Amino acid sequence: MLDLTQNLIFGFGVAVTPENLLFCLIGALLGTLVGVLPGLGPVATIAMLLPVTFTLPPVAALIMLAGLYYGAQYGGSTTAILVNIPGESSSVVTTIDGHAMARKGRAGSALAIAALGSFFAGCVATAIVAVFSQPLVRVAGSFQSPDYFGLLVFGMVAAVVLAQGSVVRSVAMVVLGLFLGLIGTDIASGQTRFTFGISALADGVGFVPVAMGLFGIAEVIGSLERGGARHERIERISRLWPTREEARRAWPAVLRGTGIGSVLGVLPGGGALISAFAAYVVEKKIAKDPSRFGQGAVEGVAAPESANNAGAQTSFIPLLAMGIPPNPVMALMLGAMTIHGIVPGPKVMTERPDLFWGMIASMWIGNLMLIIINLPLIGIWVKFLQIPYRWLYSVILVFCCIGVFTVNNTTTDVLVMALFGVFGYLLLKIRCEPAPLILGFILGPMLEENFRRSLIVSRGSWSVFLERPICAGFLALSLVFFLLVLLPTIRRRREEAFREG
Amino acid sequence: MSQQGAKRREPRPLPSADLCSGLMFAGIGVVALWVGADYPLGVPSRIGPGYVPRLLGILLVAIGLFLMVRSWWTTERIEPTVAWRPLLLISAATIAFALLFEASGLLPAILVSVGIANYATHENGWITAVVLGAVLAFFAWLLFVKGLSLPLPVWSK
Repeated sequence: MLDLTQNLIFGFGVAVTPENLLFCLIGALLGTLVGVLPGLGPVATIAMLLPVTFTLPPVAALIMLAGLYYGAQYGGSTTAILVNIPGESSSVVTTIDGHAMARKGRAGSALAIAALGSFFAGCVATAIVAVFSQPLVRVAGSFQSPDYFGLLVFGMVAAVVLAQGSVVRSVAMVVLGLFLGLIGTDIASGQTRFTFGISALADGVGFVPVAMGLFGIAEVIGSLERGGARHERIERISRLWPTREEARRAWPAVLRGTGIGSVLGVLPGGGALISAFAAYVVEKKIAKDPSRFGQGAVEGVAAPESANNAGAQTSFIPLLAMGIPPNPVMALMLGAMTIHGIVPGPKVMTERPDLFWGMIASMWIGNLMLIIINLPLIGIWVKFLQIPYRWLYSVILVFCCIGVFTVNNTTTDVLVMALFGVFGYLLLKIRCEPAPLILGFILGPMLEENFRRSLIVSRGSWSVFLERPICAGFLALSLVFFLLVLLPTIRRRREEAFREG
Repeated sequence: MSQQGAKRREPRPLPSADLCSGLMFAGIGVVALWVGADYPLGVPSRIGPGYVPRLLGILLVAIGLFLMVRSWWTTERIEPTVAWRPLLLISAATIAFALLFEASGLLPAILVSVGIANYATHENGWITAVVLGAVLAFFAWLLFVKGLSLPLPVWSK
């Protein structure tokens, strides 16, 4: 405990240097902005900002990028409440009751509840990251290749189960992602695989162009098809303070949402989106009068908004403790760490304590900044909502192009991004979620490497995966997860949960 | 597709989401197996570069076939419309950026790609193309070249 306190004090010491405070603020501001703007998400923005972070010290860079992710969770609710469009995918459920509150003239208190709930959740989640990362790092230190293999398999199964849409298609998307991860030179044998004789592919397909194509370019095309993110009117903001009755209802919902988000964020495939959905469904299930939901129930804003912020923050735990990114945003954070020569994993905490604890401390500071950015300054963000999408998309496109180019200084990556933009649009059309693909893509090389090493140790016997208890445990858990979701009742529930939006 | 069972409520038979995605996955799997056929498989205790691709290829084909079979009784349909205008113009703008950046630098690349992308929606006229292109080119230069001093060619011949 003393140890933890000392580490946190050390972390705050790192986080409150003027430079790090400034980048924390920039991250929070940018995050709020992309959160408010529909059609621009944290994945595309972080990818665009990767080149900017080249010139920064690693701690400042990661503090800024982290701030962007949880900042987007704050900003997303503003658009959801005021214009009935999710500014961020994780605020989809907030549109239901948040906008209903706004129509009843309670926009101000909906915004306040969302921001205060997020702040509370952010504080709790920061504490959870600080407390739980350390023991997890110790556990991860004792992992051997088969255990990592088991963990990775579990991660992908969980990602599939928690993803939206058809389970079987999501499995196929993970496999496709794993496959794309193989493109390039095999590190063990030096053989080039699936490069079709193109020399630029010998180093593999970059993660940034793939992610930007699937999430940036494809999203622009899709938004244009839907006629842009058009909105008729922005609701007026009334008094910002919730009434006593509203506060009484919101408080327990914030607690539940924070709990749900904190747990789901840690799971691979978890993060902000699933946390918000789950929290909303739970509120509706336990409410005495579920018919209030959809009519402006305070709990329907408080719970998912707390949950998405908690989930966004606790999803840093698997990345920081084990070097395994649970979602695309964390994969980009991993990319950012690699750019700065930091190998994510259990060693970060001992080798770069300034980075590890500084980042955790900055999360609490960032949340404090965000509540100020989002409540008194709400009027400024509403102004940004008036930028028409027909101007915005060209800006997004140009920044995607420059961002992708600067990561490796090659225009091949821009072409790869264009290709994956078209592919992403195709996936959108045939109703396949791109998130599982990205996860498979990042984890593919790690999976193959640990698979290979396990088999070397066991002299070719697959039984090694069942003999080591940790690995066998993960594989059993994966199987249980997978079978559960195939059960008709659970499957129907899962579909219901995702249909709320 | 299982359109014989005239109970369907859709007025017009739409393609099945499972059938289309199944075809895609199986197709990619077949290509993967075909291209990867020559990669050495190695022995179980020391797997070669072909081992994992073979596994994944088989898995892709299997899931693809399963989806195709399943499409007989699943009802999820897709909209077979394609938004050609944004699809073609946005990808053309991205490709143009890559080629022009290589050939003549950042500013021409921005101006031309904004000029192309601008027409992805019919709401935009030439004025937005000119204004947005100029503003973006200026800010990109200010931010990336002046501000962050990234070594980007601004305007080369």
